[in-house]
Amino acid sequence: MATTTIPWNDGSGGNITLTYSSASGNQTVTVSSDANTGYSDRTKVITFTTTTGNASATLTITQSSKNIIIITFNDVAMTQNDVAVGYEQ
Amino acid sequence: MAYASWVEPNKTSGNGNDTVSWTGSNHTGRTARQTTATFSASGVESKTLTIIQSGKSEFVSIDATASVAKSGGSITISGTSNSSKLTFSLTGTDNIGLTLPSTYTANSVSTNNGVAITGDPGATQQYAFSITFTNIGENTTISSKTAQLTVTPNSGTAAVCNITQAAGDAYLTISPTTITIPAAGTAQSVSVTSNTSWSIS
Repeated sequence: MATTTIPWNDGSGGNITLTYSSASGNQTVTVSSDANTGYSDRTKVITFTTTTGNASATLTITQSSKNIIIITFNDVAMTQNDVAVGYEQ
Repeated sequence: MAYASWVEPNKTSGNGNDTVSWTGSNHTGRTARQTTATFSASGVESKTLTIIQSGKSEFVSIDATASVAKSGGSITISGTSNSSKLTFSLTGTDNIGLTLPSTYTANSVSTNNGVAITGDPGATQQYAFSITFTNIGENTTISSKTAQLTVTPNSGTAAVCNITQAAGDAYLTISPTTITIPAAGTAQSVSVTSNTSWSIS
């Protein structure tokens, strides 16, 4: 089993981990990540390239952020410094 | 009677005792050929010379190599022979996946593989033949492929053509091309389809 680790490079220190049995021919690649502890989605584009270099494909990976419950009153959210205030689900 | 055109004397007239040398053209047929020449002189009975040229040993020759495009298609392989029958076969390992045709062309006539050629043209002279492979599939691998065609005469030594199909192009696709991982990082799967080794960056 082979593993490739690619950092999110979003300052979180988190990584994307891709696991596959062999980097050759037809394979299923399992893509996982460290938990996203931020409050914004994050996106990374990675590239699969043949070793001959004449064929490639890109994979766009988006990791959702933590869900935040925002409490509103009469459709108005409470804010702090113009940022909605809530709590993690 | 005049002698055949395939033979030529070094002189056609003379006086008294002499030697005449006869030269024949290249004879590619299997069977011997024969002609007569007449020596005449005034006041004497004519004399006849019988000239025989031996046949050529039975043979077959074929293109030593043939190339198939990576996209497949068809190829025609040619040769010459004086055999009364030719038998084609695929020998060795056929990585290309050729289908041996049931017929080929000998002396411009469609002929069944392994069956006596109509009129036996090789008896009198060598003839050209060709065999065409069609519907050859595309090479989807990144390695060249090979096959070997052997043609065997009715008797004599077989000849071999080494067939090579060019390597195909490398390809790589993935599905899906976009994935969303939950905040907790739960694994998602991506299928990679390729005919070669690859890397991720």
